[in-house]
Amino acid sequence: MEPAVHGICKIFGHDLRYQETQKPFETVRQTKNDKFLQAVALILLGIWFGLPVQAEEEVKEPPPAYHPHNELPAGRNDHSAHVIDTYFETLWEHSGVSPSEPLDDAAFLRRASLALNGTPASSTEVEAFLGEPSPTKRVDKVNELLGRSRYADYWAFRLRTWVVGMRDVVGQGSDMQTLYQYCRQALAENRSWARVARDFITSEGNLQWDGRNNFSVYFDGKPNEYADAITRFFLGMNITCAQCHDDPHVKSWKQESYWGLAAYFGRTKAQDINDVNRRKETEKRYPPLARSESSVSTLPGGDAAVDGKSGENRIVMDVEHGEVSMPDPKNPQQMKPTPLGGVAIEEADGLSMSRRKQLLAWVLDESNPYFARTAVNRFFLVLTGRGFVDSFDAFSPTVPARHEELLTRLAKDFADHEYDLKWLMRTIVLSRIFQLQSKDDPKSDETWHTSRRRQLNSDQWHDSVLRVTGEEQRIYGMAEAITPLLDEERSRRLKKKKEQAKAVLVIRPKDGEEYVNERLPDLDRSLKPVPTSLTEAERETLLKQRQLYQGAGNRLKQSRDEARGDASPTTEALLHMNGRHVSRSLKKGNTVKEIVALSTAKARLDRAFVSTLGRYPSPSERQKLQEVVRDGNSESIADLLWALMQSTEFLTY
Amino acid sequence: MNEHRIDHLGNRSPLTLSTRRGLLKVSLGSALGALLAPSLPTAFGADNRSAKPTKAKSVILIWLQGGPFQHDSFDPKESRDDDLALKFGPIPTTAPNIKLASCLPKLAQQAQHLAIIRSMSGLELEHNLAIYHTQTGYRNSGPIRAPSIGSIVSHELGATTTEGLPAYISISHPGHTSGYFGPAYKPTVVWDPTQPPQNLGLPEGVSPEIFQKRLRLLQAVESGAIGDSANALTKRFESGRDAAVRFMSSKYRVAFDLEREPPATRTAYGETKFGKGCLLARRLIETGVRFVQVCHKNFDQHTQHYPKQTELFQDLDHGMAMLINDLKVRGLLDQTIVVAAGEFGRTPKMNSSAGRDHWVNGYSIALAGGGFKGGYTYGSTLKKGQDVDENPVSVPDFLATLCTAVGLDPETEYHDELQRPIKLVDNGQVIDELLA
Repeated sequence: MEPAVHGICKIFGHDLRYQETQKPFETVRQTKNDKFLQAVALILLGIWFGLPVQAEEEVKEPPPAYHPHNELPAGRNDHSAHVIDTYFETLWEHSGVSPSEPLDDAAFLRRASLALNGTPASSTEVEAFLGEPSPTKRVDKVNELLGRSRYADYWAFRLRTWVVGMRDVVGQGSDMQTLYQYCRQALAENRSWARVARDFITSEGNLQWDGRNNFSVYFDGKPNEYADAITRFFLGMNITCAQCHDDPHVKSWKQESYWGLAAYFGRTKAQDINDVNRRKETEKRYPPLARSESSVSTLPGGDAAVDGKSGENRIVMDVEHGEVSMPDPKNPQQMKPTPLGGVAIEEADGLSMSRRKQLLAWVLDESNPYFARTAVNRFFLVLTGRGFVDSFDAFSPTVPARHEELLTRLAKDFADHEYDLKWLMRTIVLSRIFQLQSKDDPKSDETWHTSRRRQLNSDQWHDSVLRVTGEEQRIYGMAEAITPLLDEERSRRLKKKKEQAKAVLVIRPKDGEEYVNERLPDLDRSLKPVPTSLTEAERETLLKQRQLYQGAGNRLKQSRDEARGDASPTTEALLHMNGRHVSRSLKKGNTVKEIVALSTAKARLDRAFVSTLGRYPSPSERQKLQEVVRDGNSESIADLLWALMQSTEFLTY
Repeated sequence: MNEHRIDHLGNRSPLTLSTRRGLLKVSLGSALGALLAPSLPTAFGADNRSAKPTKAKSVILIWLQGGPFQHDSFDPKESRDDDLALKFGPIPTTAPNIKLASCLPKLAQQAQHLAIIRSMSGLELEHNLAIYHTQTGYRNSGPIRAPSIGSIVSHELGATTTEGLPAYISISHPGHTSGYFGPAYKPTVVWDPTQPPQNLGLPEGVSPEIFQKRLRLLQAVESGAIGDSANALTKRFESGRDAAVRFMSSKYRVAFDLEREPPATRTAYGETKFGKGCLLARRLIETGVRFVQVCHKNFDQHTQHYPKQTELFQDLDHGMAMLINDLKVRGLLDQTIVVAAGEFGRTPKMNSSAGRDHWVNGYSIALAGGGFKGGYTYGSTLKKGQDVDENPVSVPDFLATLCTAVGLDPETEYHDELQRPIKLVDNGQVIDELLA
């Protein structure tokens, strides 16, 4: 937890504790499984204290291609993955199910790359990984994937989608560009999930300058909707029913609880600043500082390839007055800010911090277990397709989560690791359940003994096409050619940003320090301006190439936009088969040319399979398909790549 | 009826889609033969899945996005009040009891077919929220993800034909939410009414022969590899591809070619995007599409109401009047509901920028055909439009009535992802008076 927030929790910790009698977060346990749970709890306890676990010795010899992490040398920080494994191995034995086979190296690389970076591995990477003898290669690979800039590029799309996808009217009024930049920056710096919560819950300013403010799109003058969004997003619970009536299922969620929570946003205003004077005034308070350099996308095409509309000219700010009342005409009482299932804060307004910061303190308070549980559930759902509850916001005090003991343990570990997202993802991806083969087995939804095969999301699909056709490589080549110009642009940006930062210090001398730190956390760490000295003629040539690169970025923005969304299966099939993204990439990308240049039919077929599916063809596939690439005709190779890109194996992971 | 003659579809060989279940052969040659018939083949008569027998089989929703002004259209007022600044007074129509605003002279000639609700009472004053409400019958706050009316009708009834065209097509609009029915019930989108849907044609440089070769290769690739572990997904992709290839090679694909209509017809609909959309809607309904939405926008004019909205109403007048007339002449009006609705109306009083703002206390929706009474009005607003006078109609009332007209029970219950029971339309009173 961040020191500042921790301090807040300490100050208000007492007020924010829940009343003993209400026990809002106590979950009902399934008595049926009590015995089993006890057994698991004992084992978990054992692991906790570093005791050897009996069951482990009986694990059968794994097939040679599989390198389970529990054989890894100590000090690899994969302790919690081990916890997950032990939990499920005990559960499977107890329930009499046998887990499906582990993934081989090729399938593991494909799944891990798509899950963590949103693209399959390149053919070179696949070949290197398959030839690598190291027993720790899976762990090393996961660390490598988490360290790549594409990790931030890809997960920024996920985080942005979660934010704007919470309502059916997607992204209403929000600035998709700055929101993406914020998300990317947060992930590139590996900001803790608690810090992300702080950014979203308490930020003030213009949503066109500072992406964090886009969370307030839910606010839109309605304090209850903001409260709603925070509860769903960070606490995993949907309390909307209580907006109009006491929740019939959850006794502690009264209509009062709902509006008491809303009162935290009674003093937060959203304001349009289309007026020039008003805009100038707000610029003094919320300066239009440029983004951090770490938020520059490394997608092919760069920032120009990020889709999404820009937002309304709007700021969010905390003001000194404003109250929320119950909408009930018979009981129009003014609500005091009250944590869900907690006690109203009597002196809330005498406190030196804004109401939203008080809410943040409650969200992050140690006695509120839902913050960490919700995050653990969210990343399990996204990475494995299975969650402790069925959606991001399906927790409820009355409905037990699956695998409760494990969830509690992982939530605690996550909090102990200071809500480190990379730690969490790493733990999940290194666990055995991530590395099992997929099979259709409805029973597995409860016991998780097989993996669930899932369709690529639009970003994974879009970027897979770019990578396997070699179009990505070509566009990166364009970017490389204009590096001096890009360096020059970046230097100019950095210089401007430092000037702006100075200006902020002048305007807000008192708390300016904290302000600047918050906005430009990496100002000093970010790359130093690179000295460039281009002649006029050089710049001229580069500018032309720059335009081409920009054009490629814009086209990718369009194709990404076209791929996004929940089209019908028919529309989707038409896009996959006839869409320009596939046909253009096949035509322009490097892969077809590279395959043509290979000398044997075997090598050509191998490369086609490794590029698209990340594996070598099976003997029967070789028998059926080698003829197609026999003469090395580029059209036939394009046809084969096209077919491979329509296959279920390519479209899923 | 030379205009419908199909001159050529290109020299294409039969498309073959290989699937695990066998070979689906769609011969463009035979499709060509079928299309030599003088008129577009009509495909009505296929079985409805769950519906009660009704006159209406299909729906054309003319979606007036932005909020059309009720008093310049279906609810004209006599008032000469300066605050209201009404430009178009009432004119008599072919229906004895109905007057329309004078900027709709052509629709006035079709008023004997119109059933007009003049007392709509909405709840949402913001566009997106009001659109969601009008399209789904639910307010967009809270956990329920409701489907829009096009998804409801196409989910419940399917297409009227199995000849390859989708059940739900949206023209000039990306389509609304399909809610808990999922993406399979999203519409197929036609962005430009003079062009077929995106990606329906083969990409440049890919001939039907190459495409067929590629599909064969795909079959070879699919038959090995991952086997049973992906049955559900493989089926989803296969059925998506099947439908896509059927659509690509459907004999009804000519419906998208407006050039096949005689120039006089095209002119009558109006040489505007909206007019072309209406003409395309008629052609699609003829070929068995169940629900077509034609979007006409943007009615959201907060400044200079005149002439901005006037032009939009002129286009509406051309397109919608011709659409009703054309359906009538072809004997399709009885089985096709035409409905013109927006998310709300506009303030009767003009604002200081000579514009009109959002308004929910008494606006209009017009219906025609498909078992609705002709020459009929329901509900009314006060003299200066300041509120509903009698028989207020809520959004769910309207949707429940529309559902009933196509034979659906608005009270049908579904369960969403969290197993909550949700009615197709919640709390809607069917307005029986509107139905013949």
